[in-house]
Amino acid sequence: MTPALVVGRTHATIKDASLQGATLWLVQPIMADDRADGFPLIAIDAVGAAVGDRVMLSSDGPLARTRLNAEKTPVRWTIIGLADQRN
Amino acid sequence: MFIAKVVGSMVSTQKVATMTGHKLMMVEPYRVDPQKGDSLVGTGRSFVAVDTLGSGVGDMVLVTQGSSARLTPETKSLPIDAVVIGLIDQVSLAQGCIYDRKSEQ
Amino acid sequence: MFAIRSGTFFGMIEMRIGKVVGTVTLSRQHPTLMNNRLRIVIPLDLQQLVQGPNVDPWSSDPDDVVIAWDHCSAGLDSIVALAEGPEAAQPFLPELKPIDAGIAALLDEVSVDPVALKKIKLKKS
Repeated sequence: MTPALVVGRTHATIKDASLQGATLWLVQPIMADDRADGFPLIAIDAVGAAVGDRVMLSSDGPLARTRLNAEKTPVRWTIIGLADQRN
Repeated sequence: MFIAKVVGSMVSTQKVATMTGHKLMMVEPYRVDPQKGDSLVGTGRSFVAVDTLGSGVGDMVLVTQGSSARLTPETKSLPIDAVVIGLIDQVSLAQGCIYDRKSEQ
Repeated sequence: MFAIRSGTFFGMIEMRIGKVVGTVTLSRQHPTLMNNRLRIVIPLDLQQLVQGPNVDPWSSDPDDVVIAWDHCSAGLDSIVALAEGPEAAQPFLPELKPIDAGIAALLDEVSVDPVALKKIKLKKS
């Protein structure tokens, strides 16, 4: 799992069929000291995250497929938890 | 996928039994020149890739890496992570063609 | 493509955002890859995404240029969602195609929240 910050959202009309109706969040993986770690990623949400939230991401494929209700999807990153507070 | 140039072949007698009969090529990944954007330049790195197409030394090829390399009937049971999936004909950017197989030969 | 980062796995399991800068055509291909449409995509980092759709993808000296299968009829300068790793081949299942990158969506809009952005240190390590 990876700590990340939700920095925005994206909108797409033409997309893979499995993504119909799903919100595609823009998330930036971060390091322990809040530095950006690599490229921002697109993730789907399983917990009700909002822009500005610190979250944790999982790259579990079966979870993404369950969330999207699709047998096949190119999506893998899913927001699986919100951070209560900073340590 | 990434663009690479075939720089040689690798011969291995002692190898995992399932690899028998597969051609192995040494490939050097190429990238678009980030300063000028008008040519492909080598990265100096090298990979060993399974070749299913019969590429030769000097050819520009397209290589798939990671577990996707096993998504073909020939390679699905092999312990590999790089496979040559195509011979490149042309590479074009907004300003025009930066690689043409015919003009290289 | 050649960098190992701490945040993600080595296996390139990612969905990044990228800009289409060109096209690749093949003279010979694996039989499962007939009728291919391949685009050259440069992934964008957060600083580039803030600049909107007219961003210059070459501005950060791109280390990796990805050749991706185009599922969405993307054109030059399109901003796209780039599926990388084995997931890129999923839309073709049960057919097997040896693909490790694909364009999963054509992004009309990418909004970056300025308040959320302030929580991140953008300086490179």
